[in-house]
Amino acid sequence: MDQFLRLLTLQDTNTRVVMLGTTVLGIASAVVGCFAVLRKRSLVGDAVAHAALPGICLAYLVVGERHFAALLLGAMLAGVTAAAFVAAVRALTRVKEDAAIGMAIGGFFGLGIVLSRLIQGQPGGDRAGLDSFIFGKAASMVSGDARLILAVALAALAAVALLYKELKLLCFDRDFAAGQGWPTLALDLALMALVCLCTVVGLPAVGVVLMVALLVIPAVAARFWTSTLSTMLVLAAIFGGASGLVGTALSATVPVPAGALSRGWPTGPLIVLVAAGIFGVSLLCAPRRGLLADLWRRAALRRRVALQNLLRDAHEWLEHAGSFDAPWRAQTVSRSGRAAPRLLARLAAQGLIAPAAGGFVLTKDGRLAAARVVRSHRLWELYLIEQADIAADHVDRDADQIEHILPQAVIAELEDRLVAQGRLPAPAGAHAVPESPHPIGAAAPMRGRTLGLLGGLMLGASALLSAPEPAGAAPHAAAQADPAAQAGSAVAAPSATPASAAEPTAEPAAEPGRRSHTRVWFTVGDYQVRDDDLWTAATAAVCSVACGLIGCFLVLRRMSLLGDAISHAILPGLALAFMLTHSRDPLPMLAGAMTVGVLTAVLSAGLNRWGKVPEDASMGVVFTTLFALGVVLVSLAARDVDLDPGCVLYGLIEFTPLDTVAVGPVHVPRALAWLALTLAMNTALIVLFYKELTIVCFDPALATAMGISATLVHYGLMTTVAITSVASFEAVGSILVIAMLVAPGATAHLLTDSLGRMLCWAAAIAAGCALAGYALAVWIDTSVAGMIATLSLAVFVLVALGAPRHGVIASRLRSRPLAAPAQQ
Amino acid sequence: MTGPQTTPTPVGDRPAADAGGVSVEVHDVTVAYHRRPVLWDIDVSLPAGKLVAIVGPNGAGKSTLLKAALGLVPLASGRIEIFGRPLRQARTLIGYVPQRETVDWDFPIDALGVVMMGRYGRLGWVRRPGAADRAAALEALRKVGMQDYASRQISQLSGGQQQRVFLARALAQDAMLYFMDEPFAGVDAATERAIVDVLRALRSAGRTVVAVHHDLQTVPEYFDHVALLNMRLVAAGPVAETFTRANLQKTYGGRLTILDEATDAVRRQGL
Repeated sequence: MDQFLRLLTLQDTNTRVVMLGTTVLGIASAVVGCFAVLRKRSLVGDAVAHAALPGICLAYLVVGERHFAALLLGAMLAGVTAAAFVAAVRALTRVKEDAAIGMAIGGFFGLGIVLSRLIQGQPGGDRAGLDSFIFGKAASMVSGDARLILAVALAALAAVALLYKELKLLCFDRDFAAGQGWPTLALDLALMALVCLCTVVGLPAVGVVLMVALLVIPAVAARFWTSTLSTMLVLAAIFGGASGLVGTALSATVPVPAGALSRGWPTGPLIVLVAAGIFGVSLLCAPRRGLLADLWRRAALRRRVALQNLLRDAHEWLEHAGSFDAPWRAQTVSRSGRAAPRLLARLAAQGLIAPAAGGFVLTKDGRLAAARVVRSHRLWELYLIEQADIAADHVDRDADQIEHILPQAVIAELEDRLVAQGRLPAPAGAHAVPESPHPIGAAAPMRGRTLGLLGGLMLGASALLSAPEPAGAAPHAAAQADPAAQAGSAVAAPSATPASAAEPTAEPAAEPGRRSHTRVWFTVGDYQVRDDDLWTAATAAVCSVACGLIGCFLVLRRMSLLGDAISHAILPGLALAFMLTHSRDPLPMLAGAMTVGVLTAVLSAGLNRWGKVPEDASMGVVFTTLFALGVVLVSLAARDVDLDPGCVLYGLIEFTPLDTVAVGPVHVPRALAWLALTLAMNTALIVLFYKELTIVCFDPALATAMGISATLVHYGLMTTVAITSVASFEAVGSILVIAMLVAPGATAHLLTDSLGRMLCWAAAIAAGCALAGYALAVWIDTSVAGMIATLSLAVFVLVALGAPRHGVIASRLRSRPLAAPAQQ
Repeated sequence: MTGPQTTPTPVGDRPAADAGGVSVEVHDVTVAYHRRPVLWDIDVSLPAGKLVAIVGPNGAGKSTLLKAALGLVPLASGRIEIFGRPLRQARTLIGYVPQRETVDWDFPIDALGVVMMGRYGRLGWVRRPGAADRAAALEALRKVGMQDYASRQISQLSGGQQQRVFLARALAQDAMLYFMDEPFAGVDAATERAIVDVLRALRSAGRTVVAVHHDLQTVPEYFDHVALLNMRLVAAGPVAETFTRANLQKTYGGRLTILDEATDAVRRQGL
């Protein structure tokens, strides 16, 4: 604890520069992140961050040593490439931005994994340096590094200060800015460059996987407290700085569980969790936009409405009785029912009523208050009848709801107008109560109705908010109870676990002893293709096809990023289920992953609606938080099992043949068995629900109008994505899977105009990439999953350029003959 | 669910389209978007077997009224009946032509595929469309003069052709009541003629069409019945009696400022 405080207050001279570095980094990312969030570019930041990994590796390969500035320069270039890729795909092809971002995340990260494995294979490959870029390790920063981070972060802050007005205009109204003559494209690029810059310098502290959180979470949290941009920037800076400072200090002081990650806590997840904590407090407690404030406001209004209704009821009853001094009872004048004693007590406490023989009497204040309420009510009723042509027998209920919130100024204006039009005699005084426009007795029963305008509004809102439970989940769970088993086996990895990216590579090829007693099927050059190779290749292909098929619908429904979020977010579900049951029971694992997966979809949608957080930012908040939680949980679980955070990143497909189940006479890798089941399930679901999936993707409104619930299909699809991600977890980890989900579908979309053929193409592309990726990976001795993701992206780029109808080159060629005659 | 039907004649539980009947009954309906009321207390009956136009200025809630009738937006209060039944029991009686902009035209599907979607509603979950559905879809395409484009990918059709494909999809639904959201928006003269012919054919077959319509000039020519809307219902009835200068002035003559202020108050209070 003392040590923690010493670190926090920068008293520790060893860590002072590093702590300062992460703090300023948090501030700069948060400030730049505000603009990224407002410009709806949050998840481009994610792509940029993931893309930085291959940049770092390439820079290392070129420079040949861990030269910090060179690595960051490489990361910067790769990040800009990824941002340009996303922009180019959006502008030049029919593939939508979300799919482009998903492919950039998976494809570039895959390339990074491939390269980092290659580097580890090199003699003297300084892995520790590169490894720390994945989840961040502030401890491995030397003070020179920290100074560089500090300088770059300050420069980014200075750039924001200089371009404040321009960026503000760009984010609010790009077209207006363009109309004023601002170079909006250059400004957009400048903003992306700033995002790249912050992301890149953040890598050593937070890591590529979670860096986007530091851009998005403080900005979104700050938005809850304020409605002005300048205040939002300041608050975000404070939140970001605090997250950086506290997270880094925590990572240095919290004791690491024995036997777990030997080199201490990764900084990234802790920084993100601190930021998420700040976000949670903001979401709940912010004074205007927070959830608690909202609940309180609603409760207060309901209370006021109940009190005013009781007053009005009393007033109208007394009016009828002919004397305002007569005593009355709550049960005779109104239907406030069980709430009546509480309401009466409250009114008495406010001095509006006083107890008397035979009930209560209105005090002088009470009569004024009641008259005010009745006056608003009747004026509004009159208005509805006279001006809005609403039938007299309908007005009471509507008026009932609105009168409580109409500002007094509007009431006065109402009265003036009605008087001016001769609809109302001139008022005798400020509190004169006009006649009721309808018989009071007849209208009274209506008053108790709760489903009036406001009640209806609230009901409508809550109906919107309460996303239905995924009814599709149950049958899937029954049919697919098992794929979690292999997820379990991934967490409790077999003893031959190749440890993290940190350890020397342990490819199957490196274990001739184990390989020797399996059969050689054929040889390629001097490489002998054995049973294990075939099993692994089959696993890769089945995994890829299962993802690719379901991914087509993600691409068409523009839900790629939700797929990405879900595949990240299943991690804490897997880890929690394992920690709670201490077993690899498939059911809890699958249940855990599916719950968290669907929770991601529901929470993102909820944040978007309740918290008014932009859609992409709300996904960014939810999945980074859950993923950070998952990494921390996995690190904790490492105490009990031999566990490998590397598996989370890129899976253990090379080792799947070690864990087999007997299917008849054949010993099939467990992972392959579950993936085959998943593939069968996905295929069956697509065949069975082809019609529903098509119509919901194409035209959800028509689907709903026809009675096919778009919500049900949506959550069914998300559940299937969660199950597929769980099944793929052991083979490809939880980050690369997005490439396998999105790339085949997006590629196939460029090749055909028929959904059926698109699915076939996607399956073929997925299988081809998987097999070719496996062969290539074995050949140059690198990560199979990484290679598959890289190839998927490469194939997409080739097809995007060369596709016969929808390729960039083909459409350029087509447009030329049209342009030519015009020039003559 | 009724089985796939190829004949456009009403059978089984479908209501007979007597000219005096009521197709859509709207009771006290209030609709709010993001807590902001856009339709106030609409109370109207639309006749069956007629072509009905919904007319009003921008932001008057015309599309919203259609969506409310289709169950696409929740009602804050009130209820809507279709041929005297709640919406749930009337879904297969309703066809819908949404606005063109709401759809992803890059979707990998051809014109025939889009029209086939019209058959999905009556098929129910899991069942696949069969030869009869295909024949019905082709017939619908023929009715709008698009049979030669059946295998065109939809993004390769012109705006008017896309609109006709949407109309064909609605025809394939073989509904008793059609909701159309601006069917004439941005279409060429040939398509406009084709749509009018289809609407009249529908009317002769006893079907009802309720269309949001923008072009005031053509209302008397194309439609029998009109509902004038501006956040609340201004007037509804046969075109000859209702489509008057006075009523139009009332509809288009400025918004009700107090209603707007009340709307704002509702929103500000965060209800």
